[in-house]
Amino acid sequence: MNAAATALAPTTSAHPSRVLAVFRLHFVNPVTVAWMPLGIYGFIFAMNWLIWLIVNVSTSDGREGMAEGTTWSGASMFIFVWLLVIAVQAMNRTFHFALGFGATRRDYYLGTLAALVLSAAGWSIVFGILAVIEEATDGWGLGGHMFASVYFGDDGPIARVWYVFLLMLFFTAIGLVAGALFVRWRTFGLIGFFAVLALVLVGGLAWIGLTNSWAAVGSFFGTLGFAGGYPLFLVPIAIAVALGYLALRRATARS
Amino acid sequence: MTAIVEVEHVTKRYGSLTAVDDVSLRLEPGRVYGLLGRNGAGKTTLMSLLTGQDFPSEGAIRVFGRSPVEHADVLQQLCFIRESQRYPDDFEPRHVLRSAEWFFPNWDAAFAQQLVEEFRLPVKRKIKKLSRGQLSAVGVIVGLASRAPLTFFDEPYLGLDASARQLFYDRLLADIAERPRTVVLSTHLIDEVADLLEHVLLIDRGRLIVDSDAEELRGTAAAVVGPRDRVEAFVAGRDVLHRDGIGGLATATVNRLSDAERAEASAAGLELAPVSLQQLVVRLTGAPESEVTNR
Repeated sequence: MNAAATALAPTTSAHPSRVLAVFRLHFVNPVTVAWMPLGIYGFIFAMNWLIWLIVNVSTSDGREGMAEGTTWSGASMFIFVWLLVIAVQAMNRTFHFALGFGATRRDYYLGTLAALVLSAAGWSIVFGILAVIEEATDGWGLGGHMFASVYFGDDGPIARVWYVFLLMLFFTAIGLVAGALFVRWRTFGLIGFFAVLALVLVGGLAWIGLTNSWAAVGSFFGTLGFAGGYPLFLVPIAIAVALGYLALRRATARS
Repeated sequence: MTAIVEVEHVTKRYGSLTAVDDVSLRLEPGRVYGLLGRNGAGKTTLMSLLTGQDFPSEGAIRVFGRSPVEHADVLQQLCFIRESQRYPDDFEPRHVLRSAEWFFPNWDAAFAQQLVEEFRLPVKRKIKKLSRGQLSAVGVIVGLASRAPLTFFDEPYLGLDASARQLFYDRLLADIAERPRTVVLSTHLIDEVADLLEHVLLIDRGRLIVDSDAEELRGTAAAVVGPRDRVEAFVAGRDVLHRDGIGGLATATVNRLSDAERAEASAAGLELAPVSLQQLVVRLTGAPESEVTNR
């Protein structure tokens, strides 16, 4: 069919200046991308710090227990979810707008991807610096943990930044593909995506259970360790980025 | 081969709805086109197709020589201001104007600033808090200051007051006189823009029913007024767009009348009244007769 031929014919390569324009578009209003998450993060940290203080003041042996217990803190998880939301919104907020400004879908996707990767990189560095400070100050003076948690191992500060970056990219990629599906198929796209995702996850768990492979799975990840395990996120990240582009390349700007 | 837009037998279907039905047209550089038609006639869909935002079901579109779909070199010469343009929720007009600079190669920031003042647009207010008229002003400013070789204004002035609309016409005329470019103006306020339009494209139920020079169009149609039997006798066999009448008096709007035919009508004791572009559009796009009787 003519329409399909028009759209799927190989196009000229990406235009760097247009990709850059889309990239900058995502940062034109720093309130959403930087100040708001920093503010929320600061607030979460302050709350945690106050709770550590309460625990320290009101219990005599609180400090040792807390230093151990807060390494399991999930307080830092906010930023990961935030990145997912940002990625979904980035698509939904700016796609129609950028198309109206004459961006191609390809340049839009590349620029958006670049903006999101840079965000993840920036936030993982902030995260890593805070973790170093946390360790250097003996848990912000109170033995509390928010950034140097067990989830990112103890392979040193550089490795931690790398793991955090990969996990952030993973959340970003999920948000990116969800956003692209929403732009293309609206609510049905999102429902379909999360249904398939749930099916794959639960199906995978069931398959492991039915084949009695939990021990094997455990030892597989045990051998990989953090350094080998985290890069595995690159697989779903790559799949999500590819799916997102496939969904977006035929998306239209109808509101 | 001077056309900057060539549309050949383009059809766009959404399920069972045919929004654009076998449209063929050409746009020449440096002209102002009026894309007219009733709500839902297919104007916005046609403009979405021309700007590569939507894909045709059938037919071929070439803008500046090639398909607009995914071709940045074509798209950066276009500017499409939608009536329902969506802006990022957290944006203020200043963010829109700032990013416009990165997307439109001919963007004139000083001109945009001048227009912001003239339209009294608050640039530091959330877009979603703007009034309908202020929202339209954002689009109008981007459309004018982008100075794109091919600019589409889709119903650009919903909610704009009369002074702001006049300002838009004045600035548009002055600016395209200085820097000629092609403008496609889609609007329902036909009388207001009639003098601005050089060419009229009238679309009804997805079909292009008029593709004509505006001057010619204005000159061709006439309302023939007189006693019913004589009017009927005169218009028999002609292209009658509309009839109405009271008692023995009748008015028939006839599409094409040559000078000789005009003389013939006068000789037959019939009066000829001019038909405005707006009246012509109303006649051609089939408003119920009772509605137009009193016009």
